[in-house]
Amino acid sequence: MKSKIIVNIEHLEDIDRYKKVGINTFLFALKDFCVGYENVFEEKIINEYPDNFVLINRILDCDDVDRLRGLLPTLKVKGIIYEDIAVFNLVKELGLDWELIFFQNHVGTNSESINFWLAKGVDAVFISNELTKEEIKNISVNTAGRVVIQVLGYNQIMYSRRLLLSNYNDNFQLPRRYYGTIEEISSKIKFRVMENQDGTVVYSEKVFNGLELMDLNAKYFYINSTFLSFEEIVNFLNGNSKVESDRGFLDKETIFKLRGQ
Amino acid sequence: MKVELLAPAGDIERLQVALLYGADAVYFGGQDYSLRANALNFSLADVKKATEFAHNLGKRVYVTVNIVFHDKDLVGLREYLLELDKIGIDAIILSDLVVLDLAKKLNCKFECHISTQASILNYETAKFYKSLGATRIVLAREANKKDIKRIKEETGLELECFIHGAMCTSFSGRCVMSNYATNRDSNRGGCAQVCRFSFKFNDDQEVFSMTPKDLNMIPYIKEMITIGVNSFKVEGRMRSVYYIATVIDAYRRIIDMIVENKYNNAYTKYYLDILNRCANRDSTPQFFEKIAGKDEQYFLGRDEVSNQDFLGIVLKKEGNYIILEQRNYFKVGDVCEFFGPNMEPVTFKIGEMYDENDELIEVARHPRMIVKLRCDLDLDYMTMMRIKVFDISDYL
Repeated sequence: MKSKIIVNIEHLEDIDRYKKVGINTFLFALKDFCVGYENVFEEKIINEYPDNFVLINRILDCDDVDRLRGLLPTLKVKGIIYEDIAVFNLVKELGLDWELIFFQNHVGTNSESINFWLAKGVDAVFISNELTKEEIKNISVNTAGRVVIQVLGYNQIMYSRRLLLSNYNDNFQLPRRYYGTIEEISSKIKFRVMENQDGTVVYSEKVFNGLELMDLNAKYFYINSTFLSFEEIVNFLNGNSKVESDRGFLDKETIFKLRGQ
Repeated sequence: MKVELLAPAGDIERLQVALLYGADAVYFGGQDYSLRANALNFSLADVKKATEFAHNLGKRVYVTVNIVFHDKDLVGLREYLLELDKIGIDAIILSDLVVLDLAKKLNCKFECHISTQASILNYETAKFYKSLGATRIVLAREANKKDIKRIKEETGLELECFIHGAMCTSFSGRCVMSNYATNRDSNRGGCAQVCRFSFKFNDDQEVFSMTPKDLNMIPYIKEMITIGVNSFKVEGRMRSVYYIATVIDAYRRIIDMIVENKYNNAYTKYYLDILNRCANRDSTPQFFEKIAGKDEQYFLGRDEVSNQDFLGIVLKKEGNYIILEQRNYFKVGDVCEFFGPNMEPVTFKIGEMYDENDELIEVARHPRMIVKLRCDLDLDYMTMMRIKVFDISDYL
């Protein structure tokens, strides 16, 4: 099963260590085109590790699209994981023979939409992390396993174009910080927050541990290593982690209509 | 197409107000599949009634089918789309591609508009939706004027932009804080607006929220028309009739004056004052000219106590009297203002006044009481009475 794992790389020196434990497929967040990742990589670094995946998870404006049209053909990758549909159009237009993996956070929530994308030529679609295990299982079955299931890591739960930490620091005349934890006053619920020049991403407080989902049929299983060390990830995989984690929504269905309505 | 003013409608009354006050089209949700799951929303019978009302005025209706579907939510979607098509609505607003795909497979006659939930900021993404048969894109609220202009030039699609109302802290649709904090699914209409709660950062002492100020594009309407925006959208399906009337009335007049080349900056100041007082919130253009920064957010001390400006709504005229439904306290001698469709605002001092038993009264203090006011003005159904605060002559 480890052969199906994709893990994002935060530190290049981890690559050989991952390989030693049987993880051989890596994701590199592309500089200037990603939010919510601690470390991003320039094209020349990514090209030193061919046959892996590149990540573009920003919502793109027109200038970004123009720039990517020139940049994408220079990348030596096996595939691309992307948020903005513009990337799909560009890869097709440029005739790049890459694996296309659609990863729009919170959106891969039903089988038919995923099958729509597969019919369009996408190779796999990320399943949303806000689903129950039963819902994920059904989607996996209904899409013949052409999905990516996130099995470990802090969950990205909000993406803003605003520089929320900088705005906060500016407003209260505090030193610049680009990472930290926010706590909601009344409920005491905490979230991790990370900002770069392109926006702010809010993460869950606890590590989502859905490794049990690796029993399901999927093209890949994704580990988001943001905020986690190599050792912590291996401990999770070996079942002996001491890092606080939860099972997200695997057995907790969300509601949207309040009682009596 | 001509410039369209698009209004929210939380129920039939607000829909009628929006259309009578000058909206060219309205949007609302059905009882399922809409991102305001806890609003009243429209039954299919309401949709039919609303469509007939709008079409009789030569106006259009758009129905939001914009949740992100889970598998079990898809049950009944096919039948729902067919019913909407049979009623003859003009368009649906969608974000999940399963809806667009199904509408096309069913050969529905209504147009498909792509919701702001799709977060479109570039022409390639817009082209993709166009290739699937979408006729209009509702751009992300983060779109700036350069991108709006370019998307129009590259795609020729109808572009719809929000011009007024509340903003998400995140890109719309890219947030599930509500799911994690309250178990309410934000992308299926249950958003608890957790971003507007109070937070602390690390060990700092400061308490803050991430609440954006409202969007207000009054100073930029002319420029938006010039760069190719077709539809000017007001947010607020859960807002009051007074809010809808005030906002739509203001933008209707602004757009008409711009089209007729009669607009000047004095009106900008006047209508900004009117709308800011109506909403009780600060408002800004947000992302149109720059990345929204600290001045486009509230951090602390937001005072959103409702005012009592909205005094009543005219039900009918009877001889030298008007019959009015009271909405806030007023008394003989108060100076107020009538505003409504097809009329300029008129100042009015309250004089002779009766209750519904024809008893002479000095004060109208009971919510929604029926009041008879002596008034020689010709006032239409749904003309609003408000406290007189601003006078356009002071601005010109």
